[in-house]
Amino acid sequence: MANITTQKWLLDRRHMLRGVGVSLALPLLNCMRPSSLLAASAVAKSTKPKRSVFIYVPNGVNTLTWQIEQAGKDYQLTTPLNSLERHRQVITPISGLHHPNGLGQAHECDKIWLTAASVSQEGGAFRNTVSTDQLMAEVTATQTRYASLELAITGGTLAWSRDGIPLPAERKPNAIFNRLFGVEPGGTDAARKKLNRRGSVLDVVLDSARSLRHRMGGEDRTKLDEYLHSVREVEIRTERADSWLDIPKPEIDPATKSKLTRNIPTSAAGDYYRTIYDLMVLALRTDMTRVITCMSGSESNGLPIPEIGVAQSRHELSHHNGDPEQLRRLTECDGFLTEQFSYFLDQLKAFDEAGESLLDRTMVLFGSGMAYGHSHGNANLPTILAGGQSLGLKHGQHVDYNLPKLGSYDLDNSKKHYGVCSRPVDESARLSNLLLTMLQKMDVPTERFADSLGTVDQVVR
Amino acid sequence: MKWKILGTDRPRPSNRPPRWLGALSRFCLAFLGVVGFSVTLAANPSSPSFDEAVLPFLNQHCIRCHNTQQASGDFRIDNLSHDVGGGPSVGRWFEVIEKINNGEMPPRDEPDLPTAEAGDAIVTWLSERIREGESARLAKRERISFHRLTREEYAHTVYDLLGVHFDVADPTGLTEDPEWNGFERIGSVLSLSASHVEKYFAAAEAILAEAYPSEAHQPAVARKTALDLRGGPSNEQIEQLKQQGLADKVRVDMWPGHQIQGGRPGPGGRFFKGAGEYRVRIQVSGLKPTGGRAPHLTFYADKLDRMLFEQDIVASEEAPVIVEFTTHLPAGNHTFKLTNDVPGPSVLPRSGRAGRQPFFSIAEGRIPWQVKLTDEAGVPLYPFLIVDWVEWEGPLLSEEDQQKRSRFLPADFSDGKQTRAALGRFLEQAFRRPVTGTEVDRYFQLFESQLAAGATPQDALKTSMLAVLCASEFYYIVEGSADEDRPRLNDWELASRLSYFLWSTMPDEGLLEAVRSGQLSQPEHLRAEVRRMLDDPRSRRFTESFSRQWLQLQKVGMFVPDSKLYPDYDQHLEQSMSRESMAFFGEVFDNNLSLREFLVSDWTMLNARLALHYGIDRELEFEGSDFQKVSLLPDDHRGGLLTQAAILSLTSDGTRHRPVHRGVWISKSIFGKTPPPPPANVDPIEPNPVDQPKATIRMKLTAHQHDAQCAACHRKIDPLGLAFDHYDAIGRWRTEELVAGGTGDHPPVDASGVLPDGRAFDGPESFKRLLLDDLDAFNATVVEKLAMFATRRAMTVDDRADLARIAVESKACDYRLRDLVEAVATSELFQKR
Repeated sequence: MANITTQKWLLDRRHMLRGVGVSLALPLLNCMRPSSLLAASAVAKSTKPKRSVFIYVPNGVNTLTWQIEQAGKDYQLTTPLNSLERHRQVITPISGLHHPNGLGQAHECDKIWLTAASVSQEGGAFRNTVSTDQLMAEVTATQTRYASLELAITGGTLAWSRDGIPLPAERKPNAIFNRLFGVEPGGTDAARKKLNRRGSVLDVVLDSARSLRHRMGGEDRTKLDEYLHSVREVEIRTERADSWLDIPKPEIDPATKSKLTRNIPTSAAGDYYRTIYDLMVLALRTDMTRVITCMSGSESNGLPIPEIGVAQSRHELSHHNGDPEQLRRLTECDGFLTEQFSYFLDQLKAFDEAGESLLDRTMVLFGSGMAYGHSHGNANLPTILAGGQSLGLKHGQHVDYNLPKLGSYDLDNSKKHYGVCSRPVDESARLSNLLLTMLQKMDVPTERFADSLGTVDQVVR
Repeated sequence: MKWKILGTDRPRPSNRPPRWLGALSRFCLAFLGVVGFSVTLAANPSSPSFDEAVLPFLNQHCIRCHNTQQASGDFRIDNLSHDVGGGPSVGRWFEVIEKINNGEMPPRDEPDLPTAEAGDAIVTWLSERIREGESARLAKRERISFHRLTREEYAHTVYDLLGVHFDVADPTGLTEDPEWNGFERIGSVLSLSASHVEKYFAAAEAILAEAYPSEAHQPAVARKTALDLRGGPSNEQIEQLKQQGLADKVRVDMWPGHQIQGGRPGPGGRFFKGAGEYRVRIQVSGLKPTGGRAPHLTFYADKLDRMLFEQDIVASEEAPVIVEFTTHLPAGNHTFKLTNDVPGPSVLPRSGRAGRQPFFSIAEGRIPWQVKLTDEAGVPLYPFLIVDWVEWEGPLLSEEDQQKRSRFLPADFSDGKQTRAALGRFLEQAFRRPVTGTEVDRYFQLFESQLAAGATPQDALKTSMLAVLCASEFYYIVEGSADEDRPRLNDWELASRLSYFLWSTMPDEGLLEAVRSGQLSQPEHLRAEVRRMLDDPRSRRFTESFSRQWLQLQKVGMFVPDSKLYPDYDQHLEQSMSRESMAFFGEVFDNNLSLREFLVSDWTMLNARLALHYGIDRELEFEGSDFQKVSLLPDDHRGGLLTQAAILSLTSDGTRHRPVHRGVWISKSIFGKTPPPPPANVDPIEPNPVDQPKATIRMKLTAHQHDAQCAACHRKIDPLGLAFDHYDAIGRWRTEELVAGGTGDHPPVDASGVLPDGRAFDGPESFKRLLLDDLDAFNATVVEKLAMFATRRAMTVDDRADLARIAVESKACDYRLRDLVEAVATSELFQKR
């Protein structure tokens, strides 16, 4: 077992994989679904990991202060974004993207950020579709202990299964750490015994549910199917856990562990954010998973930030009513969230992985499904793409879909800019295009994602 | 029925017959029990048809451009399904609403523009049809319906089954349930993912480990005295104190805000070796300054992030009280925080806590530079808590809970028959219905295979039980049959529906016995069972759960009030707010009072914290933090639900009251009507310019209504909320509205208004009286909400006759709540799938 601070762990693992031979890798095939099988050959080509992280900003931003006004390489970062200056060469801010299905949506825009689903007006009966991260996870799942990691800071989730079911996110640092690195007492034998037992239990309940399902007939979207798919997924996870059992989990040094498992009050917002981001970095660098979503705040309850004097939740701030003081605080809060994001990029940059930084092999999408929160304007979505250069991304410019038609921004005319943030200037500038671009860079074999019209070539080398 | 808030009965141009005549005749029919009447239900049988309501408008204003030839904006209207809500065009119709709503269509430069009223009528009609379609889709029934238990119901069920309290809200618990319009138990909304299943699995393992521990944990007692609880005197001093016989006289003085960190019964996890019930006792005095707040003791478990207990404490120094509570704790190393959670002077050194000096009494002399603790007469100046000791005891196991567990164990494990029978008993209980031999075999085979793999008989049985607790039949309420379309519940399903409706848990032995004897569905027996259930203390779960969900009390505190504007606001107040509304509902229920009380009452339920918040300062004796019924005087400006702090807060945004939100809430919760959504991209209300006189939100809203499109809708919503302008964002009464910025005095509150039908009111009291005149509309709303809660699905067009029948029955009982709940539980609708 290797200590991760010595960075030997990854090598050790490869060594082990080699040592035990293919037999270890093979059992994984049993738990692959057809779609992952398709992708398996693509993955095999590149042994180096490809990773993606999605971070959501709730309730949009103060678009009047957020908006970058110049397109191309010589753009100026705006005040809330200025902490990104040091990352200029590894980020691409993008203006003008939208989800056609998201326009006018108040309370679903987080749910469709990575799915682009059509939001029916049916309230509770809203059926989502699969999210980008989960499609990626189907490809990377065969390589890592966990297919994907769903995190949130105050609630909600970005990840949706193929059934359109929300995949609940973990919120507590302690729970996240234990899920990733916790080791069952009693060693491998005891763990295997438990897994076998779990397998037997799942067999029985699946059996029973399947026989009922068989007798019922009818369409394949009943609650029982939801149950069957979920239990089956747990069975797959159990099998996967079993295949990984003989590969020890990385051992985290006690100082890091105790730092990352503290019970941090949400009032210490910065500490909370950075701890969650540290956990994400740790999960990536130990290759526990390659796909992470993080809801940095729920739409209804983004954290107040006492340390910068913001006592309201983000939702409250976003309904600023045009009040200059509220708008000022919203900008402060936007700047704060961006700083935490910059911190995350710092950490990814700092970790060297065989001559490349972790960020080189990790694409990070940071943004919101809302632009102008006060009146629920969902065009011109705040979007920043970072990292992933070794996966074929290129950065360094502000990609702007508004300016070709708009000519220039007129941020003093708030009503006009709110208009830009409410109705797309360029109908073809779809967020799905960017999601498709990322999917392809993750070797998901597809030419289309949801309502995509093509890829975003400006970010591709 | 004189007026309605929303829907099709808006004021009409005077050359048309008043619509309320039609509404009135519907009501008369309804009283005869002939047809459905409900104004609040999704479907209004006498609402005009598509051809009447919509087609003329479309022909006149839309279809010229949006047709086969032109299809302006790539949008055709001529080919949309006339089945607006149920047909395939529902999304397109919604776009039509949006465009008319936001004034985009018809284009402004058209010669023949419709009036705002005409546009509004179309929007309202279409919105209603869409909402009907929504309900229908939600309620779409399959041969078998599966309604997942909420996590609250899961906890109650597990307790009744195995005598184990499982803490679903703990970090190791279950995922929060999504809600739909406040309701958490709508089957189609409660989804299930792999991560849910993993959590259920882990929960079941923990529950079984506690019910059938591999080694018994003997109960123990641990006490921490004042000297252990707080660092202070040195070891040397403690030795001295012991010699002087004073060690047990030392107490812990807790100033406002003071917290004892890390209180725990011993180092490490040694004390809480087993998960279970623990009793905590605390000996404490609580000194309340004259006219001020009582000290407030809170007891919080760090690792679980759970408040275990909190209470106001009033007890003199000489006569401390012992407060006691039991709580369930998982095994492990727990630390607790004990806090005197009231505002007051901060715990600065100069505030003069005893520091290293042992503390005995506030009556002791003070060093001159220290802040005084008492006035000249020895009365405390601040709310002090003085703690003597904290004691833990457990794990505790009652005889009753032990019996619940024992009934599923065979007397002799070596006897396969016995084991199989025990497992069969468990299956029947867990699945809440008889099970077949094949079903038992399936789980018994698991037992046998585990045995064969070397497990002990007890572990093997636990594994089988684990499978039972992960089966779909356990965590779903299953209704229907695989091989037939069965429209009605069978008696087993009826028993479950009753118990989850009224008790939020599985049926008890009484209900199951009534099923076995074939009596449950016989009307007289059913009524007797329902009454027995309503008399049972477990019906408190219904009153709390239903009132919380109906009134959307989950939203209280979602917008945390700005601490600069509302420094008095604290957690205790927030909880007291919701508890008032739940306790109020409970009181109406317990005494079988009329629904009128929800609108107008001369009493409410208060604890000391809320009485203080409401400024009700006459002599009231409160016991701890308990709620009691308090008579209200006119000057209290309270009464009914609508003037309760919870409702007034949850419709505010933490900074300001929101009249429109309040209007929407009343429309939804009292009239069962969801107003159409506002159009996108409305101009925000401008903040008050510094050089202008201060303006109330009402004034700004009025200024905002220059847009006819906005005004048409807001005229129906806003008055409902403006009636409560006398209450601020945390529900305090006021006569002037505090306005930041601007010049001059704060403007006085104007809570008068005119309802769409022209009736005027001059404030909350007269508004509430007007609501009383429309009791039938409110009655229909409560019936619908109860039915939704009971059947775990949205109501549809198809349910309206059944709902109308219940509403008539409710009216016949003078709208008495308990009778109404009984009427729902014994209704035709209740026995339908």
